[in-house]
Amino acid sequence: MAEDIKSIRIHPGIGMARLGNSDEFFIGPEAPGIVVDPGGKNGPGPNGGSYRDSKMQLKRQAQRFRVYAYDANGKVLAELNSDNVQSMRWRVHVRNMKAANYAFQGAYLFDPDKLRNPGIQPGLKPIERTQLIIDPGVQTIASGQTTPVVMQGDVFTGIDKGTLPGQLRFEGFTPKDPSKPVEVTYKPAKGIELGQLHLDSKDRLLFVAAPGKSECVTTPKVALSNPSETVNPPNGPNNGEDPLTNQFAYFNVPGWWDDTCGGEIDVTVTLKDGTVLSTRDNVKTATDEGTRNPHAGAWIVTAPPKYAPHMYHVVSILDRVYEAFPESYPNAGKTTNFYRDIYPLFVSAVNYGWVSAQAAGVTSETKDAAHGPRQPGNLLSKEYMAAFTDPSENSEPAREMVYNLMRHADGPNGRLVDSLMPPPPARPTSFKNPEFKREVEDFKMPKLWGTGGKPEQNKELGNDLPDQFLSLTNLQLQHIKEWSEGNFEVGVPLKPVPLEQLPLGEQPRALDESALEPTIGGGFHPGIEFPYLIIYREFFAEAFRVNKGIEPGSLSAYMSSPWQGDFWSCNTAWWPTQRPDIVFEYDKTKQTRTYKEWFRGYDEKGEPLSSTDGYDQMLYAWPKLGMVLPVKNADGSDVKDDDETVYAEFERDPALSRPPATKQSKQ
Amino acid sequence: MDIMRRHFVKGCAAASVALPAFPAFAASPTAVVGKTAPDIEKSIKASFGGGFSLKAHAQAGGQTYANIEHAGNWYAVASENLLDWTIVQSSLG
Repeated sequence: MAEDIKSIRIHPGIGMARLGNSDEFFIGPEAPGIVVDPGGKNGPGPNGGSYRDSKMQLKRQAQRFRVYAYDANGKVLAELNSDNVQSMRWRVHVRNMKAANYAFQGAYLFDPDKLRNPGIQPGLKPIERTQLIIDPGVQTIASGQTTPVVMQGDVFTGIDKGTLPGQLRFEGFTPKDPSKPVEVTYKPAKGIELGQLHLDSKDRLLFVAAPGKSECVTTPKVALSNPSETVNPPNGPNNGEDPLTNQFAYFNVPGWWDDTCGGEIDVTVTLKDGTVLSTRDNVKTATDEGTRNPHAGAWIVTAPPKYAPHMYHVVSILDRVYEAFPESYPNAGKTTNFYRDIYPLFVSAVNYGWVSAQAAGVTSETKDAAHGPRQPGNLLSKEYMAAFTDPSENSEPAREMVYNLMRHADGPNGRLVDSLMPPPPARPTSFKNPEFKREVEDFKMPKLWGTGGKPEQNKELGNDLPDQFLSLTNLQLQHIKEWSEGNFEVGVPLKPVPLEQLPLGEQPRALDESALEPTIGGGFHPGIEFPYLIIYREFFAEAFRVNKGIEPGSLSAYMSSPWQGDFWSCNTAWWPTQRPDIVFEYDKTKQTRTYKEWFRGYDEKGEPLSSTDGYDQMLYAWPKLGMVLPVKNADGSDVKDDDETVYAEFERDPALSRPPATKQSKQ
Repeated sequence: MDIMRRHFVKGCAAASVALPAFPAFAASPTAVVGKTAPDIEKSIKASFGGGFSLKAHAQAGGQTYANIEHAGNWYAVASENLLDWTIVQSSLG
């Protein structure tokens, strides 16, 4: 085999690991459509596993990386692991650069002159602001190593004191004159864990995300909040010019860190005959450092948990990869297949009706007119499905109705990226071109917020921005168009195939796709796993491969700092498949349902979790909130109502339903 | 109590559903006393979410009953400890 191998590559090219406050973890999906079981027993997972450990703590989700050998023609020869190699040495470099990065003020309003923590190491590029970067350095784990490598770093180092705007909200301190700066002291945060490296039984790499900690290092502490809601609303003091106090302040809270990260994954393999192969260039021996080859090495991103693991967002990062690299789209040129290309979109749309009040049809605007059971938007009903799978002219009106309801991204090419050029760190200007000026089509689908941000908020701020609602990608819309015109084959419902049952040659792509399928590909405000930078070809060497010269941590740095404030804030029509807006209780006998807000309960002070100002409460609540999973019949099948899968909340930590005083009195 | 009941009926009419009548507060010698509307509102928000609001309440027979509203939807709910609530009836059907 050794003589035939011309290259090795790691898959997935971009991996996704998710935070959890438990020390236990499970491995994320490795084939499209597979919802993995979290392990353990007596739980609601697909195979009876539990998302929580015995202490009710939320398990982390790990990403497994595998190595594949290719011949000169790009044919997959084998997966390389301890079965067929002498040794494997993994090299990982991740960082958290959020505190050092540019402030996030919406993708269209990006301003390279506005930094987070602007008083610390001012005037430098983000990568140069080393006091604000959590950098564990290069870490390795090799065959035979049985203990995990914990990647740790420090942040806010070497800073004694500074000043922050007096309009910020502080814990236990109210400035006498908010118009004057407040002096704060800094205490460095040390030993922050960004993740762990483990090896599985065959020396594949398991990247385990961090425990989800966040903290403020200043005294007095800056409260995680949106000060513009109380100081000079709607956009804060100084006409909203300061991203620390304006309407985007909760993305850029000074003095805060979180333990998400991103960065590069490489491997050097020594075959049984002693041949050394590496995903890095210029490697001759197993321990050579070499240089990064972006076509062969991989990337890891860590992100908050996905609380509805069976549901997919209608536009995923996978869709964005193919939007940016249409030449890599595997179904290009193929006849549209209903069950492969259309039906999954309808399933996603209908599933929103179990996690979003608007999609459920329980708000005044959408009452009984959305995607819930027996509602006109139940695209999975028998009547609709009969029409949708009928290519004849008889059903064309129904198909055209669906296509005509779909929104296209603004601009002549229908691509989000066109309105956001040039890429950061340049200031975007293309959206100001007349071709992107269009009325907001709030009646079209999907009725979820877009990268331009909520229309109501933009109106309040006087912003005229494109893409205020989410649009499908052109590849997705092209399939719907073909289908609406009758140019399609029906196909059969897809049955997900586990990785080990796939032909060898199909495994790499299965890994690449499955890591990104259960993610959020818009609206990017800024995103929840990967920021809007995923839409730019410039940042990638090819599909699924982060480009050379991209520093570890620099892409994820565009996400909210810390993530919990944004995660709380996005409580309506953003990405309810990751962060549900509402959850239902279902009465099987009566086929009726009632809902509650997903973010509810008591905080650590005994106050109810807020629907209007819960930024800081998410810090406490996130690992206790419930999972949204299919309700099962006695025989293990999913409960259906009007052909929809019924979803309800499971494994919510009961501690969240009791104020702390009550907990103490019961002990 | 009468005022609360009138609000309750008005709310029901607005939602076009018939919600169950509360037990007569004065008829029960074991009525929970001392739980104020703010106590109940706090419990409702913690149990159902901050967007839910308390529209009416009564206490009788060791139970607290409340009419709550969210986005035009009404629930009649009951609790014996102000921690765990049961939805007795709902405008959602």
